[in-house]
Amino acid sequence: MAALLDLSHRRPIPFAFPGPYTKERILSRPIEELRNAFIHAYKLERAFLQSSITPRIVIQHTDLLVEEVRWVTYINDRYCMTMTQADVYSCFVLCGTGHPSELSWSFRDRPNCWHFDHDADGVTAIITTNGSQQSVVRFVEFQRAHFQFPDTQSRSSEYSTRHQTPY
Amino acid sequence: MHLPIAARPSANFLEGHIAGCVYRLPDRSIHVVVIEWRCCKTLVIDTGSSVRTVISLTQVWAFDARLQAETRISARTNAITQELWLHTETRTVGRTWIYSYSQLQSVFDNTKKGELEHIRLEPQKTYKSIYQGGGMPPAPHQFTTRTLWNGSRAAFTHKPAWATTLSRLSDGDTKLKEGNFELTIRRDVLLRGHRMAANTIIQPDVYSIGPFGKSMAVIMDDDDGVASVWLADVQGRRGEGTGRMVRVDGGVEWGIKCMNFDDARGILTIANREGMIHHIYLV
Repeated sequence: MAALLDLSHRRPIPFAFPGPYTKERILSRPIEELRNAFIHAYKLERAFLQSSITPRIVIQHTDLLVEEVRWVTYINDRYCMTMTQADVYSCFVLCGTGHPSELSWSFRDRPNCWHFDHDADGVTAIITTNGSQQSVVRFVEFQRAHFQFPDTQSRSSEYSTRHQTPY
Repeated sequence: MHLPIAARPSANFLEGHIAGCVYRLPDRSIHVVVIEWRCCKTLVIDTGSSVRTVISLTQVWAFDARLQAETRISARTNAITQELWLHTETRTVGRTWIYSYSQLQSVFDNTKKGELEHIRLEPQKTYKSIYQGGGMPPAPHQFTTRTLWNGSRAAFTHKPAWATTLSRLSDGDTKLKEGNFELTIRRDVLLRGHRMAANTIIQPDVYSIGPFGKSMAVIMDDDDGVASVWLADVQGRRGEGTGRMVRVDGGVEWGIKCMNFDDARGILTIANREGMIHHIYLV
């Protein structure tokens, strides 16, 4: 416990619940969750102390977005969010072979502010554009997307330097 | 403290920036959006049917959380405890305000939908923390690697959501700016990273700031396909003003256009100029 608290002062710990990470809140979590979070954070701590890191796994989305990707963020093991620009700006929720057009929306004006959040059901996005005085909020439900993605449990198997998953 | 009338949000309140928080409460009908509006910080709540629809933020509630000017806001919702956690901080004091979902729900139930209301909503709990950095924490524009590592912003863990910009200063330092947060990377730190990475990159082509208060990441891409992640510890290097250059060897390919770094899980997400997305698990 002391080691976990000490580590949490230096590194963000991948707990399933949000901070602040008080001792009481941490102690209220299942021991297995604490153990996994600590092990992961400790591995990162050690990796960052090295001069180079060899990635354990690289997962590659082979679906190509035609437009230039201007922004990308990791959501979870299954989904990532991108913003692209061609004639218009578009947001996509991407994963595996999912067809972006089914999960995208567009706006002509350049976005000047945006934020995304996700929970177990889907992604919530809010975007403000320069040409509009109002923002829009959109929720994209995960269940609507029938994606296929490799079993993320494979990450805990053999240590591999590179793993490209074909889609 | 109620906001003055002139400062109340209006139909064009979204002149301001989203302060990095948008959450959907479990009843699937409420979105919470935290917006920094002009000099005041306002919590704005939007309601409406949500699934796969675009919601115009015309139904707005702002409630008085006794926020102060010069306060930064970050927020989280906790589905386990059914609470909204709102963290505010001035230059010296951080405070966490906790509201229950039932409180928020009652606000919606008792407020005429479609009209702007100004509501005073007392939090159920508050936590106060005094920053420990020795003296006054620096103003955001004074942040350097050294002051960041002092941990003076350790409680500010949520990343503002708007685009990062990078500029070179006349003295060779590099300034990263994201929202109203600025971070200056000293020239010698970048040079040190340059030597460790054994390439000629001084100015990164692609960059990103990781979660504030814990660590920072800058990813660089150069013509020979070498990409590097620059990471620094917040308190592990306290007072030294140094950072470490950690190179990601393999998996990061030439042509990076944008990236995202999940510091807690150690995952780099990268889009290259061909529109290909990579998830790179560091450990």
